[in-house]
Amino acid sequence: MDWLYVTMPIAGVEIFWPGLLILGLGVGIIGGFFGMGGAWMVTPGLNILGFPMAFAIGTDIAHMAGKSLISTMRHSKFGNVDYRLGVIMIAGTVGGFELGAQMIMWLERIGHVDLFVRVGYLILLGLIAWLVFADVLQKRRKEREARATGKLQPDAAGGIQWHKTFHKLRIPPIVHFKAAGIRCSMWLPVIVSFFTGWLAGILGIGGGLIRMPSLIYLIGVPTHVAVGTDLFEVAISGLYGAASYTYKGRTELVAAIIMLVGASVGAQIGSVATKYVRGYGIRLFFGVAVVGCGVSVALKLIGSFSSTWRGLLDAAATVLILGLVVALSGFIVLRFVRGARDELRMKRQREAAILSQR
Amino acid sequence: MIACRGSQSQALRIWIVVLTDLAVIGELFLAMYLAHTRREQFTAVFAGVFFGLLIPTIALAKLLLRRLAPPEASGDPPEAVSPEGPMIQ
Repeated sequence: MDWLYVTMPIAGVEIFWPGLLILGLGVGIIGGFFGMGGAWMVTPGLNILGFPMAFAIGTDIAHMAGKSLISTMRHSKFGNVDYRLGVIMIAGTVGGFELGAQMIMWLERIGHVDLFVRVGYLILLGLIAWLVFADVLQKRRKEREARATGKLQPDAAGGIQWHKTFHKLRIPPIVHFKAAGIRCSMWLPVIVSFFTGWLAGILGIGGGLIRMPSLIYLIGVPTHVAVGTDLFEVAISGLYGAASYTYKGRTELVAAIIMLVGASVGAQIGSVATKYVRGYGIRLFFGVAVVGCGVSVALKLIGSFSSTWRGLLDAAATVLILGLVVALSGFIVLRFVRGARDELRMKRQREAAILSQR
Repeated sequence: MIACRGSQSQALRIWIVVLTDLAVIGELFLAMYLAHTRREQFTAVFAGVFFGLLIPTIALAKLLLRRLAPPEASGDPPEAVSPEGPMIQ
């Protein structure tokens, strides 16, 4: 079975390639479901599987571009993409991305890219986890208060609502985004997209990890439109990023294709699963996954400073990251199968009722 | 009866998608195995075998799905995702 381990032709490292397929499949399910590229798991995952950091970033972006295109097409059919918002955000995304990619090349030249990217990931994952948990806690507090006062708490009213403050900024031009159902200054999405584009370039992520919450919390886009629009943006930044990193010789195309096969299957499952899986608890589960991913990156970082514990810490990081991908995607698939089964049963009952009436 | 025929056709379409996905994964394993036997031309052999099988597979699947599509449907039903959104209400 030695053919399951191959030396990647460009990166020159030996990889257990079915691991790439599993990673792609899991991340495809998660990405299609949450509306993000899932690259916050892929770059550390690739690095943990054995790719040097710059190759992990380049390969991740290349696979992400294709995967996001598949998911965007799927969400577009559901009317979940605000193309006007997406097109406005392209300028910021591309500009920010190139700045980030140039920073990575400079960090690679001075030999600090691994340390910088891992610390960057830790900060980012910490922020996201805080945002998710704070939102869930705030929502629960409001629900408790509503119960105490005897007033019903509408679902949409919970959580963080910073966008109401940002919408007070009336810097022209003010644009109406039809699919998202909001009116705000054009500069708000441009600034958000520049920052997320920079993160995409520097961390090898599609930006969805930060863009999706930003679209919801800072711009006020409804969640289902945020999911679709974010995927559109991920596809754009991914295509630009893939070209940029390939030009710089940091993309392992064979690995990207392997992951894309897994991801294309996973993205179909993930995006269809959005029909069946609801509830605020999903956010909590997502927050736990973010924390787990952060711990995995931390283990890898600590391992790089300790030659004695490196092997053990690296193995723990690998198990953790792959375990997270499997657990989260398994949870989504399980809920999806259950939902689809219930839907089929109801459909059969309806058909039987129609037939019996005749 | 029309409703039953419609659900049969829908089930068949789902099976085609699932079988296509499995076929593509199988083609990937075959391409990697063959590329491994000729390491000096790894990328060329991989790309030749994989895309040589992938393109006809996808084309055949598309053709079958189009034939099985209900005449009035030009895409997926718009109500497939509820306006409340996928995970957050």
